[in-house]
Amino acid sequence: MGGAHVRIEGLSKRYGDAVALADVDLEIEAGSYLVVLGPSGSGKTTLLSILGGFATPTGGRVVVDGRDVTSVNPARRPTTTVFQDYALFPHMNVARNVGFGLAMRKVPRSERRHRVEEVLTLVGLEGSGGRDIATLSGGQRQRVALARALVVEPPVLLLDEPLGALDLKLRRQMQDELTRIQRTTDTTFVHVTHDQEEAMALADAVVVLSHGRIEDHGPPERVYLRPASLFSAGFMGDSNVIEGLVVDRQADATFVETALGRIPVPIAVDEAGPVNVSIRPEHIRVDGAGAVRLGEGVLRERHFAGTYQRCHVAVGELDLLVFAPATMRLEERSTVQLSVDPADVILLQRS
Amino acid sequence: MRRLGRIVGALYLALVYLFIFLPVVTLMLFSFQDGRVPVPPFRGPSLQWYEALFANTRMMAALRNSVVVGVVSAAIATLLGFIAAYGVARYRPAAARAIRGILVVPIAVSYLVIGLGLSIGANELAVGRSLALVVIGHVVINLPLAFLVVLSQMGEHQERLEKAARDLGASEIKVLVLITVPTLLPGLLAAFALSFTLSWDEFVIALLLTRFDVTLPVEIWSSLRTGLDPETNAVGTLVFVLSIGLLALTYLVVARLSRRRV
Repeated sequence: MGGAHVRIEGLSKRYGDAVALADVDLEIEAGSYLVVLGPSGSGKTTLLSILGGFATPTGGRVVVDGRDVTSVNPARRPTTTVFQDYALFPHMNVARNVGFGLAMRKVPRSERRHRVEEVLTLVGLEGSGGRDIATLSGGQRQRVALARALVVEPPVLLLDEPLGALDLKLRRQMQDELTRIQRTTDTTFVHVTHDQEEAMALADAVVVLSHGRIEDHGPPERVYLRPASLFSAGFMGDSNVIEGLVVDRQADATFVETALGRIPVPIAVDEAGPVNVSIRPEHIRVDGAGAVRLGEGVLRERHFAGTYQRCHVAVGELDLLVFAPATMRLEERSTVQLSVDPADVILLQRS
Repeated sequence: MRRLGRIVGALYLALVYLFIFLPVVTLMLFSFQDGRVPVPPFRGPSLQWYEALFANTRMMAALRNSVVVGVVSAAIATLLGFIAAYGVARYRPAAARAIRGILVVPIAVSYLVIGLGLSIGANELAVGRSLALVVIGHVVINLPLAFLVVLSQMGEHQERLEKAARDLGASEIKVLVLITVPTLLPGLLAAFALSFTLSWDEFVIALLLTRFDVTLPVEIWSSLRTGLDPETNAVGTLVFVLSIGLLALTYLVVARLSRRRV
């Protein structure tokens, strides 16, 4: 079927004095999986509503494959939506739910039956067409909702926190399925969530939204390893943020004075002055193997988390979050030597 | 001590139920009285008063009138209530609170006032008193209830179902016919049954607005003026059984439909 290219230009939405979206520009590549990540109130749901045609923006436009669809009503849009609570029709069985969009498009009954079975197979529910919605589990409902939105072969599929109601294990499983389905159909997926793990697992590109503005936009690896803003660093995973002052600028390195000592960062900055230094908890080492020493700390708390140990280490006034390897022997109230590799240190502007 | 408390409690409960149901049970019992007067002692079961009732053409005509008035006024009230609830819930007019308030106000107005008002109005317009006027009066008292019952079912989940249908290409009329009405069916049925039951029982408005063709409560009232007889008990029993039967039926249907909810 093939996904569509989406361009969002200067999109704003106000509710009275409240700004839900402030002049958002965004390009979504055809056939890509975009995840919009943000806390509640960040405007991510508003963005999705405008894409789906359920809300009218106060400014800007939405262009899908070169066509301005800003004021096209939901029924005629090149988009379909998977709703947060699935919104399955309780008085219809699975097949009639899934076939609803085809029936509205006056697709003949025999073809409809064929396509419904096809898409049910795609989502792993082959042969379930006759089942009643009330007899389905949460995960199965999720699949039906997905099938119902996909069966009309939309160029763009919108997903509004589709995995929010599922338990953790099922959620991880559905993430893999979503990726597979997206690759199979080649549809452009726009997925809204507040779960950063979900975002990283699914996305070709992540948009981090806060207070109606885009804080960061790029591949998940880049957004995680080199966040563009303090908010992005804090929201996309855990982070230790330490205030610092640029004291020495060179062509290939910047030296920042912090409470943890002087840290060299292997990038050049334009001006000296106050900055924030952000270090991911898994990048702070307690085995002394990092190239830059961050001094001594006291291990205050240690929680075993399966693949790592989640530790709080006190260094003077600072409380650092450190993920230590699971197999390492650590004791609370002991002293540890902290270090980091300069390449793992992120410099962020302080505003 | 605890046992005593429990006994006193049970006794109190029994008294309350006795207080509520004794008149109804007495009425039903003496509808089967074999004799001319519906007072103790009970002379043994007989269906003669039901026979007399079904042979009473005035009573039967009144029964028919009551059913017609009930069905028509309940249907109109449910339809109007649904339209009003849909408008208030979906289009969120600026004055939604005021609109809702004004729609619900008639609940607090006495039936006497509504009946008198309609009666005076009909007089001014030189319209004769008739069952049609009673239908209007019953729509007035039932509309607020039908509106509230339907509105209570039109929450966000319901709204998202409609959104989903629109999203999949349904026109507004298809959304209404294929999604809104079927999913609201329990609420609509409840509104209809409640309206019918109220209309079926209603006396004051019916008395003020009818002349020759009357509803059952009015006919019973006029037959009471000539004195008690077991036939009145029989018709009372019939009215009661019909009301209870309808309520039970509605309850079962609504419960069955609601179980499908997701």
